[in-house]
Order: sequence, then C-alpha cells, then structure tokens
Amino acid sequence: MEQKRTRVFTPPGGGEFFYIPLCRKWLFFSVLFTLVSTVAFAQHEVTGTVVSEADNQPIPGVNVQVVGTNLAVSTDLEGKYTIEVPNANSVLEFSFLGMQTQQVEVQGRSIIRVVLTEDVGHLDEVVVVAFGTQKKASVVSSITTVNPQDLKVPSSNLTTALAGRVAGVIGFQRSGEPGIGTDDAAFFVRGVTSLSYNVPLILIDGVELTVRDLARLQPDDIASFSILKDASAAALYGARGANGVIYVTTKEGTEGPPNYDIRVESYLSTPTRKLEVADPVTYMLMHNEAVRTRDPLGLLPYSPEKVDQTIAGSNPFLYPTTDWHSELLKDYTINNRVNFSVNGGGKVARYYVSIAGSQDNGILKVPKLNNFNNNIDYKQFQLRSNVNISLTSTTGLKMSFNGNFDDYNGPLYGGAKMYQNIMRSNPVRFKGYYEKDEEHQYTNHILFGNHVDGLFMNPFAEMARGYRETGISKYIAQVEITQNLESLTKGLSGVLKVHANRESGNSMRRFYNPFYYQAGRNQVTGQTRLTILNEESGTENLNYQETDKFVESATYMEASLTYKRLFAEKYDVSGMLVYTMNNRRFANPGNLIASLPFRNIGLAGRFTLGYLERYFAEFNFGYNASERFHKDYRWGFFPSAGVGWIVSNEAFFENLKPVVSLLKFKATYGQNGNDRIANEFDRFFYLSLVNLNNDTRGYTTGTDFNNFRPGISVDRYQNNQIAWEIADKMNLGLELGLFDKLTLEADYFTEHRRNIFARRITSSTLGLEADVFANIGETKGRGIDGRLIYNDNFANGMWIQGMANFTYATNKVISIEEPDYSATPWLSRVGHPINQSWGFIAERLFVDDKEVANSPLQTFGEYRGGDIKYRDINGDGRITGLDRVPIGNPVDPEIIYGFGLSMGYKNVDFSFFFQGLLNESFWIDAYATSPFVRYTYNDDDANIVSYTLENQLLKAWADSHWSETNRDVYALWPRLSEQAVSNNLQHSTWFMQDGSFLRLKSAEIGYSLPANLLDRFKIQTFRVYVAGTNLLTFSSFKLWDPEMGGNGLGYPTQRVFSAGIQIAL
Amino acid sequence: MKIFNYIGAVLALVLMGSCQKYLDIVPDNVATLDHAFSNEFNTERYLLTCYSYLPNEGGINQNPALNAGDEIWYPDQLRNDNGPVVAQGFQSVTSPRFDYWRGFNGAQNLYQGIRACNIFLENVDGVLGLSQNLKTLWAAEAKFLKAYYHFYLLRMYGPIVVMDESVPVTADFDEIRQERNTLDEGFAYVVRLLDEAMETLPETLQFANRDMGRVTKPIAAAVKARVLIEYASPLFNGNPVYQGLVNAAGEPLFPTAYDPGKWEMAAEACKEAIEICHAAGISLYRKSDYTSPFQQNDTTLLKAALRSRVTERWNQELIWGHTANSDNTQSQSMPRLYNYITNPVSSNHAPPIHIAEMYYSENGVPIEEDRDYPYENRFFLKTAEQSDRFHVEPGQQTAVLNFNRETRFYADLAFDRGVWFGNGKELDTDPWYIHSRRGEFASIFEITQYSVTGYWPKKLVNLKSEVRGGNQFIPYRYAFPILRLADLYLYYAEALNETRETPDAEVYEYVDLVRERAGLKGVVESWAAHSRNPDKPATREGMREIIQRERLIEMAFEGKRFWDIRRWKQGIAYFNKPIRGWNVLETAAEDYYSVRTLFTMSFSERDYLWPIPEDELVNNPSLVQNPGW
Repeated sequence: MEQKRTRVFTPPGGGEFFYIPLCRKWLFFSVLFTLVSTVAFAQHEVTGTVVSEADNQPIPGVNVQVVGTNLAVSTDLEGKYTIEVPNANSVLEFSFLGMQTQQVEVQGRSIIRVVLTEDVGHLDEVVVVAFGTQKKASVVSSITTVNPQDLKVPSSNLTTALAGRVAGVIGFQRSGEPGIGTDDAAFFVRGVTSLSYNVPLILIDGVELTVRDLARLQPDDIASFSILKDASAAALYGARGANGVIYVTTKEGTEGPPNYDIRVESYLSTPTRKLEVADPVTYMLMHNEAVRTRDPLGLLPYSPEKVDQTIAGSNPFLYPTTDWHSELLKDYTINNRVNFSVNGGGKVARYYVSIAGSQDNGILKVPKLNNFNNNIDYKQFQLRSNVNISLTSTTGLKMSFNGNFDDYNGPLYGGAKMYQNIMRSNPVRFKGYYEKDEEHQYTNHILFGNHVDGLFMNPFAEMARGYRETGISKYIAQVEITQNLESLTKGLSGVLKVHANRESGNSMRRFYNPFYYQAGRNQVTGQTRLTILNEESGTENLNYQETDKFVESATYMEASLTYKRLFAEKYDVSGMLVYTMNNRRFANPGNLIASLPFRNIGLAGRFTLGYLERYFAEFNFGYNASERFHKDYRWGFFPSAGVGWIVSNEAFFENLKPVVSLLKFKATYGQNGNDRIANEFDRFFYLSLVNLNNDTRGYTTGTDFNNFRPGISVDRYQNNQIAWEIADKMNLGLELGLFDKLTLEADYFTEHRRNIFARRITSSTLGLEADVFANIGETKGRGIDGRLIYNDNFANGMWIQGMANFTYATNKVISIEEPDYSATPWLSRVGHPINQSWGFIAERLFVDDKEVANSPLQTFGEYRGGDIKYRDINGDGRITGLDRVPIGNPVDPEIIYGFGLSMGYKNVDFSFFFQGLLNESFWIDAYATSPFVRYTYNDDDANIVSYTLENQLLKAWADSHWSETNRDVYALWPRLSEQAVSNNLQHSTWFMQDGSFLRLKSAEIGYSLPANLLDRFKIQTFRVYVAGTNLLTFSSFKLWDPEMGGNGLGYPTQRVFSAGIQIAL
Repeated sequence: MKIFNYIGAVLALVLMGSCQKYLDIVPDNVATLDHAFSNEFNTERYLLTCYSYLPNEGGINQNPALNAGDEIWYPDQLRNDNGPVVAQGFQSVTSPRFDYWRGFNGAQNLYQGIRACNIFLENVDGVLGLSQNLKTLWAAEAKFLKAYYHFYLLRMYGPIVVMDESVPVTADFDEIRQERNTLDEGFAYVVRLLDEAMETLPETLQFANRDMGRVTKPIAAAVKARVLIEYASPLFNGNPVYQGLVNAAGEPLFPTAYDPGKWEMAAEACKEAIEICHAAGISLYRKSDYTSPFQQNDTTLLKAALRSRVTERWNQELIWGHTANSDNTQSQSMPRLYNYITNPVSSNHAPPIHIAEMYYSENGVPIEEDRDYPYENRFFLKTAEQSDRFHVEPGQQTAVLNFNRETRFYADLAFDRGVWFGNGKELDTDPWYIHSRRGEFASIFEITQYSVTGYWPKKLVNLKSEVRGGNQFIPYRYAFPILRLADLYLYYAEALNETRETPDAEVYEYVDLVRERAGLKGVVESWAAHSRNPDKPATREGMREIIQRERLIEMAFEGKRFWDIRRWKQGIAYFNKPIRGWNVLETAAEDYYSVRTLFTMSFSERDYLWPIPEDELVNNPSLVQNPGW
C-alpha cells in the first residue's frame, strides 16, 4: 500500500529508442533520405478524361492518385482531370466506387484517357493487412473485415460489440457495470489455445495498444476493423501474433468541403434480470430450520416473538424488514452520448477531426443527506485529429493526435461490490438507516442501522459512506511519413512511422465512518429509542485516501519499404520489409522486474505474387526478439506461406459467372509466436527472483520481541531456456459469391501450439519455494468460422441485408507434465479442452442419515442426510480428490454465433440482430449463496475492522431445498445449515449450469427525412432512431442473466433502450 | 530482386549489430540467491529465514496440539476452523488440516524450511568475511532447526522423507522421486544432527537482549530428550498396528519389536538435558520467584506464580519459547470481566468439563480416587464461604466441582463465580469475579465469542494482560513455551519408570519436584494419605498412570496433551469420549449447572498419524500412505 501512495514523478521525454546510438543513426538516415528524395525530382503534368466502358460516358468524381504518394485529384463533371506527377515514370491509379480500379503508367505521356470497366465482384475492394493494405482478391490469408457500422451499439465500450458480429472472435460479457474496464467483454481470436496468455494483439493505426484503448474507440471514428486470424495474416508480428491480431484504422479526411457528422443518443439502462431473494419472514423461519435441522438443541437465531411481530408488522422499528435491493438500487438509469466529426480538405492537406463524449450512470441510489454522489458516473471525452499533408508530390505526412479523458465517480469499492453486499446482508436485523427521532433531531449525520451483537455490514452504509474518484488521461501522438521512391526503382515506396503515447491516472477515495444505531426499547419507559453503537469510531467529516496512481508511456517506431509492380500485365508482384521497435514503461510498477522497460524489435517481410488475377502466392516472415528472454533464446523466425486460386476468374468459368459470381479457394500454413507467456509482468525467466527483504519469512528475537528481521525468499527459480510459445497454424478458406447477392466466407483452421509455458510436477519434499516452469505444454485447436452476407435491392426502392456469423473453436491439451494417472486416467488433462473443469459427479441428495452410513465415505467434513451424494468413481469406497472427473463444457464458450437482418423502404429502416453461444458451462458460487453463513471481513484498505457478513437466502433455494419434512433428493439446495457445509461446496455437477443462450441482442428502427426536405435545409442526412439491446433471452437458466456465467452475484447485464439522432451536413 | 537482398542485408546488419543492446535492459545487480550469502548481514538474515519455519507453538489454528484434541472446544460457528475439524474427526486426505507436509491449512511448509537449512549449510562456509566462529555457530543453529523440522514431521507422519541436502532445481524430478525413510532412519538422523549441534551451541546467549529466541545448548539437549521419548513411546516402539506398512521396495517402515533400550536412551538424554539446563541456570518457577508490589496472601502468591510459570516472559523455567505473537491466543482464553462497550476479547477457547475433572483435589490426588472428595456430588451446587474467597466469590453458587481443588486448578482455569486476579486488580481483597450465566457480561456476546463449556484456560493469560476501558485489549506478550523444565522433569520420571522394575526414589523425585512447586505433597505421601488406592505409586503401571496424569495436569493447554496421548497410544481411550460443558446459555444457576454434551468425539487407529496429502502421492507415486487413510 505504501508504494501506491508515493508520488509519481514522470520523467521527461518518452522516446527511449533514441538512446541507442546506432538506432538513432538509422532514424536519421531515414529522415534525411526522405528529405533528399523530396526535392530531387522534377514535376510533370498529366491531363485526360475518364469514361465508362459500358456507355462511353464521362464519369465525374473518379479519384485519381499517384501511386505511392498522397497526390490525388478528382475528375470534374465532364470526367476531366489534371494532376501533377512527380516524374515521367509515375503510375496513376483511377478508382471509383462500382468500377474496377485501374493503374496506368505515365511513361512520359501528358494526356491519358482512361476507360473504367464496371466492377462486378468488387474484386478491387481493399482490405487492411499487417502493415498495409492489399487488394481483397489477392489476399490468401484469413482476415475478417467488419463494417464499422455493425459495431455501433448503445454502449460506450466497443468490446461489447464483438460477440456474434465478428466471425472468428469468441466473446462474452460477464458484467454490465459502467466504469473503467468493469464492463469489458472477454474476447479471443479463434478461441483459447494457450494455457497462459490468450489476449489478442491489439493494433490501432498500426501501433500496439491495449484492450482499454480498443474499448474506448468510437465506432464512428473507425475506418476499418479487421481480425487477422491465421498464421499468414499475423506472421509479420512474429512472436506476438499467435493469439491473433485485432487491427483497427481510424478515418482520414477526404478532399472536399467540410462534412459534418453528428450523432446524439440517449439510452435507458436497466438490469436484464433481478436476482430474487426470499422474503424476510421466510428468511427467519428457514434460518431457524437451518439451526435445528443440524442440531436439535441449537440456539434459535429468531425467537417466536420476533417472527410473530415481524409477520404482524406492528413495529417496523423494532422488527424491521429490509429489502436491501430496493433500498440501494434504482430501477433504471439514463445515459447519454454525443459524437461530432468533421472532415474535408484540399490538395495540400486533408483532415478528420472528431469529438466524442459519453456519460454512463450506475443504478445506485444517492441518499439525500449526502452532498456527494456515490453512484457511478463515468464520463468519457475524446478528441481525435488525423491530418494528411502532401508535402511534395512524392512525400506525404500524416499527423494524428488523440486524447482520451476518463472521469469516473463511483462507489468506494465498485458497483459489483454493492451487489455482493446486498447478497451478504440479513433482511431482518436492522434498517439501512433510521429517520431522525426527537432525541436525535440535531444530529448531523445519517443514523445508519446496525446491531449490538457485533458489527454487521450495513450495505446501505457501505454505499452511502463515500465515493471514489478516478481520472485517466491518455495522449497519443503519431507521425507518419510516406515517401515515393520511384526514383530508385519503379514501384518502390517507403514509410516511416513514429508513435508516442502516455497514459496516466489517479484514484482517490473520500469517505466517512458511519455512525451506527441500534433500535431498541427503553426498559423503563417502554418507548422505542435509538442507541448509538460507535460513538467513538464514527466520523462526520470525510477521510481521504489516495489509491492507485499510474503512468505508462510507450514509444514505437516503424520503417518500411514497399515494392509493388505489375509486370507484363500478368505478374502482380509486391514485396515489403518492415522494421519495428517497441518500448513501453510503467512508472510505478511495484517491483524491479516490472519497472524495466518492455521492448521488442522485429524485422518482418511479405512477398506476394499474383498471376492473371487467378493464382496468388504469398510468403511472410517475422523475425523478432523480445526483451523477456535470455540472450541466447531471444530471436525467433516465424515464416508462413499461402496460396490462393480464384476459380471464377478462369476462362472456363465464364458461363457460370451469372450464378457463381465469385469462387475462391485459399490455403495458408505457418508459424506464429506468443511471447507474453505467464503474465504481462512476469519476465526474465533466466533470472531467479529473490526477495532479500521478505517480512513473511522473517523472525523475531530479543527479550522484548523487538528485534524483527525480515528473511530471504525465492519467488522464482532461474531457467535460461524459457522462450516463447510457438503456434503452427493452418487455414483453408473458401469465398463464394452467388447471384451477386449472397456472399459466403468460410474457413477451417487448425492450430498446434507448442512450448507452452507450464508448471512442472514436483514433490513437496523437495522443499521448493516456488513452482518450476518450463516450455513443456502442447495443445491443439481447430474450428471453423464463417459468415454469410445477403444483399438485395428491389425495384421499388426497398433494400434488404442479411448477415450471419458463426465461430466454432475447440481445443485440447496434447501434452502437459502430469503425475502418473494410469490408475485414475480420468484425472488427466490430456485430450480435454484447456478450460475444462474437473469435479465430482453429484448423484443426488442423501435420503437420510442411514443412507449416509451405508454409502462410500465422503472426505470433506461433516455431512448428513440431505447433503450432496457424490459418485465413487474409482470404487475405493471413499470419495476423495481421485474421484474428480471432467464435468461439463469449458468455462469459455466454444461456439459463438449471430444473425440479423436490416431492411429499408423509402425513409424507414429496421434491423434486428440475434446472438448466442453454445458449449459453455458455469457454476453457481455455492459458498456465496450458502444461506445464513456468516463470515467476518477485514479491509485494512478502508479502515474497516471485522465486519460480520451474513449471506442472503436466494428465493430459488427457499422454494426448493431438502428438509426433514420434505426429503426431496433432487431439490435445488441441500439440507439447510447456518454454516458452510464443505461437503456441499465441492466443485461438482450439482451447481453446474448450461451457459448456452440465444438472445435478441439488438433491434433498431430508424426514420430518415426525405431528400426533398433535406435539400431545403442543405443537410445530407437526418435520421432519428430508437433501438433496444438484450431485449429477449432464451436460456434454460433462470436465476440471473446467463451471459454473466458464474459472476451472477455481480453487477447485472443491462437491457438498454436508446433513442438518437444522426445528422450529416 | 537484388534490391531486396541489399536492403535486407542492411536492415539485418542494423538490427543485429546495434539493437541487441536495445533488448539488454536487465541491470547486472538484480537480486539472486548469491546475494543472500554475500556478507555477514545477509547470511544472518538467511539463518533467520530458517528460523521462520518454526511452527507457531502458541498459534491457534497453527498448532494442532492447542485445539485439535479434547482439551479445548469452540462454538459451533467455528467448527470449520482447522483445530475443530481435526477434533471432530473430519481430517481428510484431500485437504489435510495442519498440512505441514506442504504448508497449507495453518501449517508452515516444513520441507521448505528443511531446504532453507540445507541451502544455508551448503553456503555458509563460502561467505567471505564471516568469522569461522560465527560460521560454526550458525551452522549448528541451522542443523538444529533441520533436526527439529524433521522431528516435527516424524511426530506427525511417522516415517518421513529425510532430506539431507537440497536437490537442484534443474534436476529431472521424475528421476528423483523420494521414498519415505524408515522410522529408525528418521530418528537416528535427527539425533545425529542434534548431537552435532550440541557440540557448538552456547550454554546461554551472549547477547540475550538482542538474540533471545535463538537456539542454545539446553534447547538442543531438551529437544533431543523429547525426540528420544517420542521414539521410545508405545506409538513408535513396537506398535503392531504398523507392521504392514512397507515402502515401495517392500521394506517395513516401522520397527515392529518393542525395544526397552530406547527408554534407557531417552532417560539418559533427559538426564543430560536436565544437567545442561541446571548448569545454564534454568530452574522451576516457584512461589518465591513471584514478586508483587502488594501484600498478598500465600494462596494468591502461589496462584500467581503458577500462572507466571507459563506466561511470565522468558522466566527462569523456560527452556525454549516461540517468539511469535500469541496475543490472539490470550484474547481467546480470556473471559469478559465486566460490561464491555465493544468486545475486544473473543473469549472462546474453552476447556471441557473432563479437563476440569482432571485436576487433583486439594489433597493432591485424582478427585475420583480421593476418599474425602464428594465426587458423586460434583455437579451439584454449592455456595461459597468466606474461606473460599481466594478462589470463588463468597456467597455465590457454583458447582461442587469447582471447590476444594489443588491450586493449579485455580491458577489454570477460570469459571463462573471464580476469581480473576490481574487485569489491573492486584489486590486479592478486591479481585474480579467472573459472571458467565446468560445475560451476564461473561456470557454469550457474539455467537462465536463465548465459552461453550463455562471454563477458560486462565493459564494462558498473563496477569498483566488487560482489557482497558471496556474496549481495548492490551495483552502482555510472552514467548509461548515449547519446552520448560517441568516438562523435562516429567519426561525423565516417565523414562526412568519404564526402565525400572518398580519405581524408586529417583522416579518419585522428579514428579515430586513438580508437585511440590504446585503446593502438593509427594506422590507416595499423598496417595497413602488420601487415595482409595494408596499403593498405586508402588508399581510401574500405577506410577505410569500417576506420571501421565501429572503430565496432563502440569502441561495442560500448552500443546502437550495432544501429542502425549498419541505417543502413549491412548487416543482410542481418550478421544472417543463426549465433550461436555455447563449449560452456558441458561440464566438460573440450577439450569446453568447441568451438564450438556456438546459433541461425541470419534478417534480410530488411523488418526494417530497424519495423512500424507493425496496430491503428493499422485505427484510422487514412490510415497506410500499411512494406514487407514
């Protein structure tokens, strides 16, 4: 804790790589090179007309660009253009939506007429690939490109939009709590295949950033969103690409007058489902039952008088019933979001500037007596500016600035904690607070309820006693210089990119210590009165506590050379080499190892060859090194190769084209690595970690016990050979277009992951202080992902678009160091999925004590009739850890799917989207839902000493449990007890649930003003819409939202109703 | 494509040549194990690290001997705690409580401790600038600790894996699956190490003020006595139950024949230890050793002295005390003395009625044997006279059981209407009286914070420990005894008795020393005068019973009974009885003083030894499990 309180000093400057002399030289050369090439070559003017092949009419608005530069113009209304080209050998590219893009070599000509042919299969669509873009037709690797429009969801967290909308991504959201990172969805590219770290590499405008950065991206700012899934697509990222890559680019300005886009949206958010607890009287009666059913002589927690009086409701003061849920929570909350962007520019400079703001609120109540807000109020504000400048005809400069500002105000320990507190509070012990009576009319604080039988946790007081404030700001600056190097050799260009970012944050808590009051009866007068319980420890003034403070900075440099040329009109050749350097640092990391910078260097290359737009081949490699490993094991080479065949471009296919507009086969095979083994901060495995100052290993001596000396401990043993994991990936893909309306993209993939960082089996008798790890694990994964898109336009103006996504990814452990399980083969992880659970098979509840005595011994502590009966797998007459078998599905789903339809007619549009997952199991937390169980809770952080918590009683348990009068051996809950019965808490099939669900994830209806009206107001678009999220859910599990999985006692998933306006000027 | 080759070559050159350094970011002086032995300061730190594995003798939930037997009982709400789980017979192989084998559920990882000692011993010689004297001395301490950790495991598990050196981490763990050594090998190893350590260890600490708690020669000698007593005792000496336990190679792990020579060895070790202790100035804490600023009556002084024999910090009787903080144990052992505002003491460490019955009558013989003691009426009520005022509140009623008992009863136990001396009141004319019937301040306060039996082990609370202002507990910290002289005397008497055909004066001498300090007459005299079985001290069997009873009384609540009953192989007899307490949730005296059965214990043959954790057997198939688990 001390560490966190220390003040953070931010060192000036960020670009660590400038410190390395020779690398600096390289940078210097690049810059010099760029400048020299800029001025060295003469200019040349080209004019001409662009016409359409079909009707020989001029086409206005065709984009004419000098390849490899940012020099571009558009044709005028007569289809004419005039452009300055850097030299006589330049290549011009003519592109227009719906037409095939054409490249023409200038070859000294000054007038060039161009005929564009209609593009049937959109073959020239460009997709984003590692370090660049590529024509979609020539791509042989597996890349999913998502329409950013599909990522617009009523949430200020982009990660929540991925599940079901992006083929190849397994995603799910366990919590709906607004805040920094609290509602992030988990997502994996093609599932989980490592035993350790599975988070994909996230690149935004080519630079590695974090999940946080992805979460706060505005869909409106996204130009392209791609998932690089197979080895070939990610090979260039070498030792960092094995978990897949998420690659996002942001919008740039286009030439023309300013275009304004405005979107204003409000949404109402409410939990999809409320966790129901039993009513207070049932709570008391069942607590009494819980005591007597275990111990007939036990002391009843609630006297008959208390029960009777509570039922009568005669004196809510002395016999309170508190519905903590409604005491603490509102039914709904309203959130807002505004986006504004403008883009435009001229020949020299083009800009895209956007401003976005959002406010998300929690659903906690705010007591009137407090003059601070304890509810979640999460504001995000973002600025983005991308400016492209054509410095010369051959040199382009792009400058991007991006600022993100998060301000969070919320409950002291987060919203999920509030929900947990509700589940750990007795409904009949006291009220959340008492109204001031005559005796306390001048009291200047809230009279929180509590009970003299020890200090209980009062969830209302916990919520009202204070708040937390967090502020995070992140600045990103990025410069990119593009240089046409045609002068060196035709088709060559170079890019130099420099990026720096800094994120800092701080957090503090302000709170008072509540005053607790007990309601009681004055023995003398018979009056009810409030007695203060903690006159000394309560405070009226706010205390203050500083918590997490952090500063992270990163720099990145990338230099690349690209070569691209068409030979003999047949051979499309390209090549690329990229050199990258990455550096990240954390200002107060907590330990030496984490304080050292995070660095890696890489050289990567791609070579592609296309023949007649039919046959494609590609070779990629990444050769890189990470600071994490020993010098001798630091560098790795990750090659991959692929081939593609567009059958539909073959001459013999011509007749089939009207039906099968596109048929493409592709295959890739290659290697990726994963250097983030173990966890992010666990590095340098070639060093042992020794703590020379470990208090827990210290010893006290001295007659007055005043000579304490800390001891020495080993946190990690050294192993020089630990290096990255290797993934061998294979991808077979198919692209099929039918009638120009239906497109199918499907991939089958396999992955073989080796050298996985895993724990070795040792014996305790060796006395090792830390686990021993090595690259010994091996897993295999496979699956399919695909999507189907249907597009149709009708003569009457109606349009329809259907979409379906499917991702199936499964995996199994191939090899891992395990004890000898030959006698109990069911314990071996080999052959089972990585996230498989092992547990006992719960047969049913014991009928009675007699059955207990006649059944195999269960070795987890006391148990009786009505407790869970487990199956003796190995038949040794005892239930021990050896009887655990694989149960259920993995805890992460294996199948994610989604499908939806959008349609429009005239000015109205309508869309809906269903999403679901399959093959997932989760477990109800039996301990946290064990009714009446008490535990004490210390939180030094909050200066809280020994709270007593008492578990609530779920209504489901109250309705169905084993009792002596109703010996239902299949009841939901076993025999009651006021203690946690460890026999029943074993991980078993009893509390296992099927996590599958299908839900109406979203539905939207919109209305756009008709064109004639728009013209009058000089507006391009004006659209209003209403939408809903999580409207319907189909699942066999009813206690809470199935998507929350085992996190059901946390902050619930939200149902959102939104309304918004979109304006484009 | 020449251009590619050219560019590639340039790039590669830049990369390899210059930027290798870019990745070499780890400074040279990151801490490694070599730093631990780089100088005297760090080396001593490492030695203290070896100490840090000492099982916390005074820690409830860490030392099974405090509350996992029949000596202490808790409210139901605490029955999932480590001690109560074992006491109720719910020990398991999946997650053993007090798992000293792996270091879980309240236990230290003793094999880690052994490894630390081994690493220390392997490196201490190479420390530059460390004097030879210190090298030898510290090596002796590490050897002692290594021996003690092995012994601790032996006592729990029987035959164990002896680890004489540290196995390198680079070893192929498959190849070195260790087997359990035989019991004889284990004990021989421990004794050898202790002998080696004793050669060097000092009689007393040179810088006691700074180093108190470090190991000395008396400690090593006394531990050796305990080790050999354990080895000679019936559990390990000729126990037929363990005949079938063999290692993977089929060799028996236990010696199956009874060897009387082991008692001789034990007696000799005890004698040697006693001599070494005496030479080091260790002596029984007697009445005259307690000094009070006030004029006190003799009874009070004796009571105070008896309480101080355990809780007086580093008193002259203590051979070895653990330096860990046992304040919590004091808090749990202390009744609420007046109406507290909040509850600073948890007050729930409760001895059952059979422990109260165990203490002698005022005549120094068991109450069930005492001709003059109203044994049959012991659960009836009696009103205290003025003459009882040093023990019971005059004019108040309590059970007959609480009257006319030996002084240790009143020094060790607190009960309803009993006297509490201390807590700021040091005048015996105005002591605290405990009131613990329902509704009174010492009764239930919080469902986990009350005595379920109506007794508290006053013995564990120092006279100076105090609840101040009704909301603040200020414990007086003391070193919880691992070994004290009375313990050693009774060991010696026990061993001698086993080596003699009939008990002789030497056997009586050491029992009588302990009795005399407690204000009782000698064994022979007391039995002759008051017992229904006056000749009991004359036979070996009779004397064995007397010594055992004396041990259980004298060492009560100190974590000895648990192991003693096991080594005497009397677990079946002792640990299958009902746990009884007064009906403490009642208000009226008549109701309060009715005996209530809290639990009926069950203990079977397997429970003598701890189970080896199941996972360990899976990870290392060369290990064999203890019988019955």
